[in-house]
Amino acid sequence: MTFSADRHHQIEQFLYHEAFLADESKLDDWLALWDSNDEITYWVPCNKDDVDPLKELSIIYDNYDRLKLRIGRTNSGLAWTQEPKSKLRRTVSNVQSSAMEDGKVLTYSNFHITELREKSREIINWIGRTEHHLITDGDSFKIAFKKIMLINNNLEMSQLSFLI
Amino acid sequence: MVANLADKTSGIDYSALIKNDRVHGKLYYDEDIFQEELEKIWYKQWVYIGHDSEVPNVGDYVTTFIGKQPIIIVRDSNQQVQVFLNRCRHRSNTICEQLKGNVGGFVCAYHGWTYNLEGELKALPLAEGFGDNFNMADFSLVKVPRLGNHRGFLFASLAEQGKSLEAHMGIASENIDRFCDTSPSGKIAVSAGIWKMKIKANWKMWIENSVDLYHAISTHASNAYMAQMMGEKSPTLANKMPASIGHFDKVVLRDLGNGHVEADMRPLRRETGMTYTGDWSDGVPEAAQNAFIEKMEAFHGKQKADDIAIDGPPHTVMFPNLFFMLQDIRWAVPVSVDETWLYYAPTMLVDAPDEINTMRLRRDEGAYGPAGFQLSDDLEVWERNYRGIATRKNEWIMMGRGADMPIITDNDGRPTQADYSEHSIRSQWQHYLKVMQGGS
Ligand code: FES
Ligand SMILES: [Fe+2]
Repeated sequence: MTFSADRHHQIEQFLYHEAFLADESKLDDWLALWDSNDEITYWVPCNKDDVDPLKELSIIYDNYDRLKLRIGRTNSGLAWTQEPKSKLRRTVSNVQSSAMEDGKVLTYSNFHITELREKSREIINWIGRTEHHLITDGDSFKIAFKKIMLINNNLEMSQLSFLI
Repeated sequence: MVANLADKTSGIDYSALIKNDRVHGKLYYDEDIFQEELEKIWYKQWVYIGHDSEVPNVGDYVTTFIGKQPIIIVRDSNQQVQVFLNRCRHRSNTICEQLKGNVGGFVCAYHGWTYNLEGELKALPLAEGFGDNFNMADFSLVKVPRLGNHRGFLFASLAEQGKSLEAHMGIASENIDRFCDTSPSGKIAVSAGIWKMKIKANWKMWIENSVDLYHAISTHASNAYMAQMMGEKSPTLANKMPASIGHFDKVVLRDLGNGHVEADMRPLRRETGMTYTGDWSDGVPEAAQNAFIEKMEAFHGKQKADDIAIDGPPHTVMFPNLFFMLQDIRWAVPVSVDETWLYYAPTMLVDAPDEINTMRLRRDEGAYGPAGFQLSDDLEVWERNYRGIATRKNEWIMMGRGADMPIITDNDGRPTQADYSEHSIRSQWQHYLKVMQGGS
């Protein structure tokens, strides 16, 4: 089932807000967008988009505790990859939304993230498709599941050290 | 032919660039030296290229590189692993552009020459026009001159002649054995996928760091920080995190010969009573742990299974490009003087309970890969390592930690030092010197 234009707009606004917090490195606020139970999955598959995480490797396969650690590390001042912090701007587009059987909101969207690394004067492009599962939470949502399918997940890539 | 090429020399005096406790920055950034490394190391010595479990079935293949040369590793119709140069025998096109897959043979896109899994030329359009003397049998794909397989680990040498793989590995082969023996079938598989990374740094910065215990304290400081974060929740878990890095002074750095170096964790593990299954206990249900131990004992016998559990897997770099650590194997391809591709793969223990292999994946993902909590620090320091080397004053790289300390010969006759010594790195460089001076 697809949603009304208003509902779809609300979903899009949430995805843009999430993207904004990540771009601004407001990671504690970004973490607060997540459902804080241990069922959540923050996932970047490796080698192909559809892997069986019980049998195959991922670039990131975080539960809530590990995601919290990831953010704690990134904010610690000791994660040298992010000292100085990457400057980030991401475009989220081609948003499709529909209802899942369990009542969650399913979205697919495309992203293009430009990462500027001051230390090496490099600009890195990260491009792919995201699948979100969102739980309705009053006027907003909580993220239960986010899967990021990088187009280059089967090729040699440089460090992925920001929250994608 | 290849061997003759390799004997050409640039006239660089390597002994002037490599001293016991320091090496010159030129060795990392000089284009001519990189070219000479291709000839004297990558296109001549035994180089790790892949694991035979990456191509389990007839027709399975992966494409990769030896140095800059594209190769295809394929399982032929007789179940044998073949390694071909990825080059058509007509006018040199690559014949396979997929990273991996399964095929019945290879067809060149350019003019359609078609090869079977054994590399034989089987068909070509308009064959008659090549004349009466044209013999298809003369145009098989070129195999790497020498291919060796030690417990599934594939090594290739592009030199027709040279020392045997056994001689090259020396006692380092025991480390491969120890790695495989952590499996209840004695077999590991690279079947769960591979992380692929690239760094703007010279390949030697990677092999140095891989046997550098000294760096962990600072490079991986964020891991000690995370251990504190976790400690608030689970004190037992915190004890296993690198806050225990303080114990690394007990790790013995062994020069295994031929540039192979082990950071021997066994003395530390025997003292602290760490066990391999104990390392896992947070992630694996007890039934699976017990099933694992039972299988280990059934396959290896009780005594050996106990020893394996205590000693754990080796931490070893085999020159020039294979690295074992924990559940991982890692290998490198030098792309250019300032770029290196890195491949890291958690290995699966064949016949182990599924939960154990899943746990190996989750452990690995926490620490390694392009987004891992440890490896991303390393990826960063390698690039800083390379950027710093652009400076052209006082170009000596200092690696003198432990250089004035005695070297202890162990029971295998190998020279060792502990206490975070840079002996490990110095040992690599002494072998490099020998090879670049024409030795093997
Ligand atoms: S180059 Fe391969 S068929 Fe001509
Ligand atoms: Fe490291």
